[in-house]
Amino acid sequence: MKQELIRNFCIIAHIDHGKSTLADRFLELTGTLQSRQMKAQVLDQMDLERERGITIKLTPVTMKYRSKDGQEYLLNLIDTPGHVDFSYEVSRSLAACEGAVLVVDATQGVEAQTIANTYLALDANLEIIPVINKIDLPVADPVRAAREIEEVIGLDAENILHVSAKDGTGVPELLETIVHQIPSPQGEEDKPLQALIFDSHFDPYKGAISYIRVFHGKVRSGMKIMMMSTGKVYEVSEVGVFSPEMSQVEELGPGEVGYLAAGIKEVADTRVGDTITDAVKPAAEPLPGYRRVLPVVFCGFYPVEANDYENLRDALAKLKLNDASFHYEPETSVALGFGFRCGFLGLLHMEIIQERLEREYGLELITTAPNVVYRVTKNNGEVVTVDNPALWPDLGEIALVEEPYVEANVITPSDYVGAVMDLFHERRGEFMEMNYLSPQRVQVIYQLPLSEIIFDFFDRLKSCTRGYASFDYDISGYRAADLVKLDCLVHGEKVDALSMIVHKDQAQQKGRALVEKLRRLIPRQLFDVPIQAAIGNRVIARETVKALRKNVLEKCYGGDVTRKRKLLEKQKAGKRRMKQVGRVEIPQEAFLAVLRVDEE
Amino acid sequence: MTAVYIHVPFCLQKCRYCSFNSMPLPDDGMLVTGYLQALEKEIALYASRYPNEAITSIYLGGGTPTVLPAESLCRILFCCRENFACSPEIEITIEANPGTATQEMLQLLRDAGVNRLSLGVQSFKSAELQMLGRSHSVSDIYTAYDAARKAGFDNINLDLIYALPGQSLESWRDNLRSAIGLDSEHLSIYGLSLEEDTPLADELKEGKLEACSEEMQLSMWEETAAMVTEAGFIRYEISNYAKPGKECKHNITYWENKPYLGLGAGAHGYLDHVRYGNEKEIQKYIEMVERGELPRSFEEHQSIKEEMVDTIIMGLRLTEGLSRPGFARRFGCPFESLYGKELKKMVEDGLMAISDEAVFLTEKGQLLSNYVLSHFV
Repeated sequence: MKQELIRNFCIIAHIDHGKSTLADRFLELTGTLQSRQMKAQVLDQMDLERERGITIKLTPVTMKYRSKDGQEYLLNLIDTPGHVDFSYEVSRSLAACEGAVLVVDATQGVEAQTIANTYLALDANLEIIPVINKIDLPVADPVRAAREIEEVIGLDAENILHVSAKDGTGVPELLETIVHQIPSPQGEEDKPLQALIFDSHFDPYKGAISYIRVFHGKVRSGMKIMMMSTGKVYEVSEVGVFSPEMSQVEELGPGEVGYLAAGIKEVADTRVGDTITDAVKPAAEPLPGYRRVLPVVFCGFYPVEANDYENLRDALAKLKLNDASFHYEPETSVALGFGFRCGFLGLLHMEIIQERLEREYGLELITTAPNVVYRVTKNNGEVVTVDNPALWPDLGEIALVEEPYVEANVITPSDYVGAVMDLFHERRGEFMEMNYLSPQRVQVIYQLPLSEIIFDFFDRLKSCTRGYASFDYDISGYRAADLVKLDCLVHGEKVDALSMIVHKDQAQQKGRALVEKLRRLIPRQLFDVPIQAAIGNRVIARETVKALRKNVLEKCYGGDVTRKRKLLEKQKAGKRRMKQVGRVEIPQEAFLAVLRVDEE
Repeated sequence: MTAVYIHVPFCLQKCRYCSFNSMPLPDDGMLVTGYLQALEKEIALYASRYPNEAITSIYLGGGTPTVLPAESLCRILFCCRENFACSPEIEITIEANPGTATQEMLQLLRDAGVNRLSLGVQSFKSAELQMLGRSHSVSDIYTAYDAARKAGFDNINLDLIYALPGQSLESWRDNLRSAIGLDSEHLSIYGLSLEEDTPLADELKEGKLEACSEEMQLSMWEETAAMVTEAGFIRYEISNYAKPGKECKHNITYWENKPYLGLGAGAHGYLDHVRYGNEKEIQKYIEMVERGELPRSFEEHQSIKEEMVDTIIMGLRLTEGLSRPGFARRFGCPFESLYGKELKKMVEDGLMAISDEAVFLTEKGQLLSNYVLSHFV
């Protein structure tokens, strides 16, 4: 394929702004899929995505498009994941393209996420085609949306296309614009192979499949290739393109997008951002921008039924096959028994994995409250990273504690800016900037600890702005902080799974809220159960679950027995979801109580 | 099947704590007549299916059976006797509201073979009766009781309710003293249970009344056991006390999880490993019987496991507990081999005890019986 006829592009859009629907129209108009093969949001892969109507990532697709100039072009649509958790993946997907279609909802305007991703695209020197979508809706305000694109992103409003992905208006014009504005790839066929991995998935028959964009050289089956980050060598068993299902081709040359199978055992060996080269005649340098992504949010997964441990392990291994950014390792909790400490790119990533474990693998899980990774310097100079509060060093050993900070960017209608700023202050935020995008919309930028946003920050933001704010963040480094470990003792036993790291100034209030919450969640036992919150040996809050003294159904005759049995069965089923800690049974919800100590 | 329960779903008025299947006695005499005819047909229906059953107890409950004319009640009993073989020692109980039990009626019932009377006293305090929405007065209780004795009832039960909203311990003691003073053979004493969607529960929810605290309930429970036992009664079930030999045979059938026949609209029964409930709506009930059908609205076939659980949760209500040989005979396996671990824990916690004959709840275990039983389901 001549590179002049290839266009590699992606779509940048906020959740709900119509990315999947627009992709559907492209597929139809280019005849890639006949309309009878179409179902809504064809390229959304997971049930989860279709169900929630959110797109985590679309499948890449290659489309043939005959332009009005008479030429047939090859359009490669590469998706960018639409969530902040995956911003590294976004940057790699963008690096595989020469252009981006920026979709803005005519009823909503520019959102924080869109800005972040557009900046990433501009950094990657992409040609950006701004598009205002949903112009068919009666409440559409394309003029406002255009002004925002111009003011916030700095793109010329004159060139903005107006489309309705839903009814197809403007989409043919958009395809023409893509062909004429986005530059063609400029690779060299004779150079050693350099192909960028921008995604991957696991196929039970072919092994890990790398999604690649070839920059220079060619790749074909039978060829020996090398992963430049690890030096591992594989023999290519198959190359192909996405149409959108995988279909084998002879070879992939410069500028082309497709997939490669090479008997790779797991997706961890085909890392996003890595460069594939010719093992025999390797390129001197990898393509720029590769880094290993590290999880930033951790939590513990424990099976409710101890004998599900093996099943959980197998399920995690299977998920890991397909998701290199997800980490897990076995851990043991005194309270919860055997389980796994898992690391994620963010909260959505965590929720996705948790939901898949429960839904696809039918596992019942106890999830401990998520936490970030702290950096603790001990008195002896040793620096340890702590991803589990249970492993926090002793109070006396700690010289310095640092926690990860993020730069958070919120765009909100100006009516709610006060509420947003209050929320940031409550979450230890440090004000950086405020910009009026228009008289009605404000952008505020804060620095705040990552730990403050993993506890229901997004929900709170949504509720204090009636759902109108959008939010994005970027890890900005570590900062020293006055943090302590808050332990929780139930009936004198420390419950490791309930420990949390909190700011010293908040410890008292959080401790009190936690014991109060637990008092309501822990069922009454046959004895008084004291619940204490402590820092080191110092108890800072205390509550008591009073002993159960009378629990009897006094009237029970023939007709009552079935109802009585069912009641007891229900009671027993509730017990199954509890964990025995010492002599006390603690219900599952209690382990998440630490998440919600700010409520009420 | 040895026990027969017959439901009379009519009352003078609905009590304010009641969630049972009962309705005010209809002005429409036809409906009552139709109901009584249907009852007789239902009796005949079962008699033809179980021709050789000897029965040892009949229990006429409700609702308030005594809102019906004594003649009607007697007819039902005659019908039972005609259709079933009744043992000579048969226990025939009727529930009565003190306000509706006249001397004449009680005499007719006694003469018809009713030998046990259960009086729905509930309280000896006017204010408490009023709060409960009972239709009788305090003096009605004494009148009815004397009339029953005069009619020859030598086995009388009094129903009492404690833990009423706002009730003091002293007031409850007064109630117990009054009950004991009557010198009946049997006492059934229940803590008030607040059922959803009853006027009383609503008032508590709205904050118009204050529920009895757990501490108070506990004191009342303890006081009850002490005073009633002192007066010569034996607690033979969690809420039932009897003078020696005066335990209610009929109710023991339930607690031993034995089969019984339930008759009438809304009645429950347990026959051939099937628990069933009759149609509650009187008109529908009548129509079903008229068509020659068993007038049931649901049936649940009991698995062995369910039968076992029911046997345990009912059997442990009895003070003497669950018979170990009986259990082993019935299920082909000793109780302690099925529930060894649970039993051990309960014994360690002082909630259960074991003898050669039985496993049973301790006093503490009775108070916490729901907790204990949840280990055996």
